[in-house]
Amino acid sequence: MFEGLLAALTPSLLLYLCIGVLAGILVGALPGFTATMGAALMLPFTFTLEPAEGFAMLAALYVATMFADSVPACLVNTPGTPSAVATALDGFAMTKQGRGQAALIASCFSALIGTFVGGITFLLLANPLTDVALTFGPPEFFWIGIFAITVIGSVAGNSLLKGIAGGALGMLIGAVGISSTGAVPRYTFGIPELLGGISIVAALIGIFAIPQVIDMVRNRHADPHVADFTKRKGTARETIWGLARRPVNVLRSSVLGTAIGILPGAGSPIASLVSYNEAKRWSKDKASFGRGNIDGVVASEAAGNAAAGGSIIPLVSLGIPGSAPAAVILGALLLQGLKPGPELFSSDATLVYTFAWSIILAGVVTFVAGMLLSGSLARMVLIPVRLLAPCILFLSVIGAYAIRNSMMDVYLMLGLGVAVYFLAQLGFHPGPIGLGVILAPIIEPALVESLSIAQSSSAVEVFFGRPLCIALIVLTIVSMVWVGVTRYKDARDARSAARMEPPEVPVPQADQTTSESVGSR
Amino acid sequence: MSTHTEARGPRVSIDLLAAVSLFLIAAVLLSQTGDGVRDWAMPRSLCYLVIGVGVVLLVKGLVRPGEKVPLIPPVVRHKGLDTAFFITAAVAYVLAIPIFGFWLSSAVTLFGLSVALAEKRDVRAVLTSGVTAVVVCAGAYLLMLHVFYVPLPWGSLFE
Repeated sequence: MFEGLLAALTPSLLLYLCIGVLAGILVGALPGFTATMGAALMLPFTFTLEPAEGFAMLAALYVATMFADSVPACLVNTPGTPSAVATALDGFAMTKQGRGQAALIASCFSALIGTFVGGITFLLLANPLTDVALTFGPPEFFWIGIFAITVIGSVAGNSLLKGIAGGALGMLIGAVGISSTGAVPRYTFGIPELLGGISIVAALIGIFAIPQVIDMVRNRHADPHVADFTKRKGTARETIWGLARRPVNVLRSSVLGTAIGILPGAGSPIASLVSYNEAKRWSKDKASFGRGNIDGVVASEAAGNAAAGGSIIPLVSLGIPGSAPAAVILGALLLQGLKPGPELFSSDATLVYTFAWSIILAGVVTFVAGMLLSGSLARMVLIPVRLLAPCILFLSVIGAYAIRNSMMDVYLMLGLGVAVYFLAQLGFHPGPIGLGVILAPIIEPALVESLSIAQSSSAVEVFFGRPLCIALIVLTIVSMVWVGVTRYKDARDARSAARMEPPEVPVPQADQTTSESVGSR
Repeated sequence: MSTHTEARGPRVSIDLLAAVSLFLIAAVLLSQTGDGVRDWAMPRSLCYLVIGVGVVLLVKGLVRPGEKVPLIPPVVRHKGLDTAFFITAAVAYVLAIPIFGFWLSSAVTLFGLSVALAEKRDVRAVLTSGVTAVVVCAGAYLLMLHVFYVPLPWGSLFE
């Protein structure tokens, strides 16, 4: 293990690590560019490097992307990658309150802790945790997806009903294309380009970025900038000290993120959403989530980064990638002539541990880079809306196109964005719609595979008879009851507060719903 | 961030409008839904869920209207015209890409939109818009073509 640390500290490896971090920050900060895409683009450069250097560069890119996706999420409400959807909920609200730099610093610090927990778990517990992950089958994944759906209760805004409908609409968007079960075209309306389905990244850009840009344009007379920003000395120290004094949230989110990251196919988006939900559940100030609670940013970012480390564990121990970027790293391993699996620990133990230490060091380098850049990045909100809005539209088009080089993805991105803008005027929050798009490809195949398994036994046994399924069902029920109780209490408190307040002079409210409903909550 | 556009015309419960929107979406999707159980079970269930929520919102909107919004969307009147203009410009931009190419369409859109959205359309606004359009396009060109190797469309006019 310590040989691995010494190998990770060599100057050449550190150089490649820094290159990976810089590339990762660039990839993550551009909406539409995912860690998978960045890793795939960097893969050819690793051929000529030593295996340890190549893996360090890829690991650094993965870790840095998971942090940098929070930059557009916090500043302009546009998640850089699907993992940053939960970050945008509170990060952008913080920016609107003039706390954009604090949001970025919180994200940076949480990413560091998350990466540490994921990396240390990789170092110490890779083998036993992989055995547990292998017991997860389609029914367990189905229940994980259902458990993640309960996050709607946290991100639905004022109306849970509209949140549920939004989640269903998101899942229907995710159903477009050839079905994974019977290869039947669904909701393609005779358009051949839709047979391949809707790109999740393009859909998320449309759902989150376009309504926000339209909203900015609409309100630019009152708000010529996205938000105010005043550079204040000590913001970094205060934010980090504030988070370090109450470490439970960041540690819980990191552990959850690592655990979910180990499960093949779950990945950072699910980890971030589940951790966000748990952070809200355990918080004493639940009502402030979605309105600029720093714990929301912390939970999402810590879990997203921890999941990156976690997803490498089954890759190295079994050759099963825990996420899409991990699959690209698997490709790099194979191209270097290495066979991932238990024997890798005995044949190339130093390499495995160097890889683990590289992840941890990448977290440190990302933290330093993030801290240095946070002040400058936060100033982005001072760019006038008349210049910023066309630039976000431009980046959204590039992001939607680049993922599959398809103009259809661009049309869908814009179409979905405009549709969600109008739905937001009717009180539908974009969060559940985005959540549905992310969860559809996880829940449906798991459901269909589980039903296939049930044909040889019984549905009750498959869905309700396995210990892990029972645990997940209990968690789901607890989460649903909690959502119901919390919303009932909030509504009761709001009613009693309204009774206590003196009557106000009525003010026309014709168009206020939009600006509040489009991602500002 | 809020706007205070004067409300004109008839007003209707926001839940009623939401319910009607859900019914329309579900109707379109159900008309495209097939028969196979394995392939359509989930989409069909989701459509029924959307209709169910629509029914609850409809009842809620009729019994307890709550918040009301203008029947004629603000987007087509007064300052909402800005929104309509921006959406139209965005649609025109993405439709122009296959014909005029990504870079020309983007440069024109970036310049035109930032001038159009300026409070005062003076020389300074035109200059900053022009410089922004050139810098953003040049930066993106270098990044996309020489770092990420993303072949953005050149346009049918130039191919």
